[in-house]
Amino acid sequence: MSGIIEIRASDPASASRALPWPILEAGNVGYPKGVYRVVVDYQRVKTLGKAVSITHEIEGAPLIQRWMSARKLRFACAVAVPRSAYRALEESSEATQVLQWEPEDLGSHPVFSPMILANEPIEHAVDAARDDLDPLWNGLTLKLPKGARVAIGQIFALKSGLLGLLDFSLEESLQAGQFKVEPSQEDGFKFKVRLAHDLYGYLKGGRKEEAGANIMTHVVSAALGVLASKYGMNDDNEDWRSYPNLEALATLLEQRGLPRWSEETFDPAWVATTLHPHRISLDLQ
Amino acid sequence: MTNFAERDDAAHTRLHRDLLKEKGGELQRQFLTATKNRNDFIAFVDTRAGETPGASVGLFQGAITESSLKEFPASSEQAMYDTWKDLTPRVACRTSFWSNVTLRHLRSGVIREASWLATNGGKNETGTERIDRALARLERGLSGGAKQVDDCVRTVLRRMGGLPVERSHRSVLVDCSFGRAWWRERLIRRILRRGGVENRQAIQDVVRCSQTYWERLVSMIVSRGSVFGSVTVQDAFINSMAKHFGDNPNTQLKTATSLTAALRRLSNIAAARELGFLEFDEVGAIVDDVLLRIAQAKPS
Repeated sequence: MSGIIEIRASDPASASRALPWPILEAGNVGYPKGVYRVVVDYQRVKTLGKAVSITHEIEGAPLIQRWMSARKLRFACAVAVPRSAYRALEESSEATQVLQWEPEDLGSHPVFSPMILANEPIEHAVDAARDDLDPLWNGLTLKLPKGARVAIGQIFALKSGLLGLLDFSLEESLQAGQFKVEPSQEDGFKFKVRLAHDLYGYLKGGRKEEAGANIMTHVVSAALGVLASKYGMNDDNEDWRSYPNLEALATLLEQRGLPRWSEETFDPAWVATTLHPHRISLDLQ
Repeated sequence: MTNFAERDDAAHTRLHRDLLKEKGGELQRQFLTATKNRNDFIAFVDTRAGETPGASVGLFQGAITESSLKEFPASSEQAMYDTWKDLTPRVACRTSFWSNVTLRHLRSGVIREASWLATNGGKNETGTERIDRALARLERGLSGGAKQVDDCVRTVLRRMGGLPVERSHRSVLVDCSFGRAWWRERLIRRILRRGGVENRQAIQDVVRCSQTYWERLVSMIVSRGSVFGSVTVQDAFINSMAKHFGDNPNTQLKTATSLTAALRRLSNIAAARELGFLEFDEVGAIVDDVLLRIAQAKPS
């Protein structure tokens, strides 16, 4: 079970940059056929809720691949939680690395920025055809200092909050006002929330007024009910622990003094309305 | 994992949102009226955002005055950090936690008046006077009354625990008196442990240069795409600034504009090079060069 986060040099980017050496990143034509893929391995999470394993993969950039073989590069990933001023750069000589953190340092879910860096100063005379670089670089001598960015991946986050577990989609066969919730384990644990056309359009518009919030509370309640029926009332069934986002949800419930789905006192409606209380306007005049 | 007592998170956020809904509105008027009396203020917050159970942190044992609450002296910030050294960033980044700490200091009388939370700007105006001026202007229907009331409310909320609804993550580190003390002292001690600048005063001169200066540094620390990709870069930057301040007491780098210029130049370097990959001294050498160039540049 894994998630793949990929950038291609041919992807559109919001900004173009002039840099002293080619970098494989979205929208940068330095490596025209380059692909930088980061595979997030949820199965190999080392310490549940406190670490995640990722693997860096490069395609279509022979120069970077040769440098990797010659061990001139280092695989890295910045782990950040801006809210609690947490910043760490985890690095590895191997393409597969385990990123770890202390929950006490974090105020919310970490954000990951994968990258590949020069481990030492590199000097290289470019043959654009051989190196599969844009002809713009042909004949130039690249001088990369230690720490030079060679590839920059897509920033991603492990959404372990309850709302981050919800994956909304349109279900045309549903009648107006209807929705269904099903568990999904394809890419980490998710709740597939299938919505009728009217609800889908309403929530997709980011409606935050009372009705939107109350629909969300109802969805959360249904999702927790699914969790209870799948893993509930059986303390021996610890399968859910293989999902970091469920582990984090369990921690969240604990922090809020709420029971977990395997406990007898777990009431989906009550937990949902404690986490996301219904909002009503009472006009008493 | 210790859970500390704090204001009920959801209710506290709702209280902030409700208070900011209408400038000069009835709730703002009630809130400021309550702020003039310590017990009324505590009751106002208690009834709308009660305390969730958890471990209590110790009270600051030093003296707090209306003036010092705006900006604690360095010695108080050190003592506060010593009192709360067991806190972790997970807790210390929470507005609901610091609001509760402030309320506890009010309840115990260490902060004598809730109106002190409203003090701002001019040295000659107390918090009570500022509130009275704003409320009177509102009552008389004079222009700017609603804004003055709104400004007062925001000052109280910021100082009490931060106002992330309006000011994002930096609010706890910049606006909340207790939160700022903890985070600033933590940063100073971490840099001292690096063994670069040995003189605490030199680091203090940087992080306490001015409120604007501190806010710019914090903005870089808590922003998502910051050049400070690791704490090594943060520490090396401030360490180099401290050295520079020590060697050049009249440096133009003491202006917030120059600080912004230095951070921008460093960002340009970091676009192609991950500074967090380098050793503390290696980053320091890069920052030293950047600071020298900015300091020698003619002011625009």
